[in-house]
Amino acid sequence: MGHDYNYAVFDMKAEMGKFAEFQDHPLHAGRQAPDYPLEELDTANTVHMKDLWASGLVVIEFGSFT
Amino acid sequence: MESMAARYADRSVRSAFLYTREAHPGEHYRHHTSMDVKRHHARAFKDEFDVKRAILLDDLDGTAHRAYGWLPNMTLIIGPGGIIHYKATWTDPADIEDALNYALDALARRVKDRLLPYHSERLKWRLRDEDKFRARLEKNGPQAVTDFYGKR
Repeated sequence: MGHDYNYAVFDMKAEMGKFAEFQDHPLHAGRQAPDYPLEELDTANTVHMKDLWASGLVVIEFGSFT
Repeated sequence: MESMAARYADRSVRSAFLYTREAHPGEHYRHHTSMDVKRHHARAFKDEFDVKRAILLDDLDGTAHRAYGWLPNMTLIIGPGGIIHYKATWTDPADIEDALNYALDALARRVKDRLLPYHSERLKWRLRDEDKFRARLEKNGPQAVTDFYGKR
């Protein structure tokens, strides 16, 4: 069985593999970031990522509570 | 990151937290089975850490998270036109602020000084506070501790 995106059990080997893959990820500095719709927690409005950088720099931290 | 966001807000720098899947689910904060669960966990995160930055939820499949690299706590600085100025495997506020200042300076001078962009990379080092990390896992639930450290 594959390791689902929303895994119920943390799999060290699978997740450490992601760090190795990140070094070969095509999104390098200097490349264009892709745009995706996101849901703003406070308002439930849809925010497009491209709107974040439309008028200047944006610092985007990815993460979760756990 | 919160204090940095506040300090740079008046320099037209936006800051956001993109909420992904749970990195270390446990009995108290399980993996997301619906967007309602994701919203619940994101609100708990906002409340516990008094997050003032906009928290933006990825969809349940993690479409944005996967496209940007899957990692549990990476940070990017993206500029006009969607050009990536900085990306890091982990979130190190000091390193991010250094990169942010560099980007702000370069963007301010690029026309006047006829600057041209180029790509560079470097290896960085970080210190993980093991006690703090373990305490966080324990808050997530016993399973989160066992999954990471193994059964003892």
